[in-house]
Amino acid sequence: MIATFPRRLRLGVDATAQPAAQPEVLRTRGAILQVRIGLPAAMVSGMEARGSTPPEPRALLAMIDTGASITAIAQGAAEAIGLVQTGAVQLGGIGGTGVKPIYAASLGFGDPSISPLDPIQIAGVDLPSTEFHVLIGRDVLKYLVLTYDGPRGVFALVPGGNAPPPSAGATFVGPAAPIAGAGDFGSLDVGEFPTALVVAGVGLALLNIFDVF
Amino acid sequence: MALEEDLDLYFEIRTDLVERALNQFVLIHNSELVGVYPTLDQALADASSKFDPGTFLIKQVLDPEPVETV
Repeated sequence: MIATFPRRLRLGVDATAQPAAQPEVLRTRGAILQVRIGLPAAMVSGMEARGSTPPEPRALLAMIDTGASITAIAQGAAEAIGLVQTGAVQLGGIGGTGVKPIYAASLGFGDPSISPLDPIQIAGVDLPSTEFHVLIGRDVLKYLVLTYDGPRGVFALVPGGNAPPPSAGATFVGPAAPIAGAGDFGSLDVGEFPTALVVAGVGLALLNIFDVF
Repeated sequence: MALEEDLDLYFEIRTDLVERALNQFVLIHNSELVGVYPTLDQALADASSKFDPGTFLIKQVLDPEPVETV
């Protein structure tokens, strides 16, 4: 179930959450948040000028991965969105090194006050998890400040002080939400883009940035 | 595959590109160097106004060629 919250809604810690449940959720699931991925604006403009109809951006679940030097998207998701391959990259990892496709994209966050990264080049990969379809790598994190609060089971993503793309003061705070229906990457209207996903029946804490800092 | 051929061309002329276009973005289409751009945004805009999606290569000229990790 997807819940939509207004920005900066202060919910505090959910009193119904079982002790120590949330830190374990964050440990096992990872720092997962919702992002919005589509074609870069420059490409959309060019396609429209040539009479083509560019595909709409789509909302996807992403996991923050400080071990990734570059942001990556599941190959199937990239094709479903209609991203355009513009190159290839040598990609290494635990499974070895290989050449993977590079897609041109725009990347937005749930909090609209964090400016989208547009354009950005992301790699197409085979992701083993069906819970998320994007890995947020250090090429994106270099513009943001990530706070990972393991004991409380929450994380926060805010713009850095000298970050060119995101605007100052923007915040995103995410719960360690076990996401239902994460295998679907259905699109959401911009107006209903949630700041977080909450699964009904699970006691999760959603913290406002002012609760964290 | 057109992209593979465009990538082949990139590596053929890479030494020259490193000398005169380091850190810039090159646009290659049908095994021809179309242009060199200071930003990815400019390269995408020009490519998308001229060519069909998926038929061109845009690559930043870096030295050494990076090996990314995921």
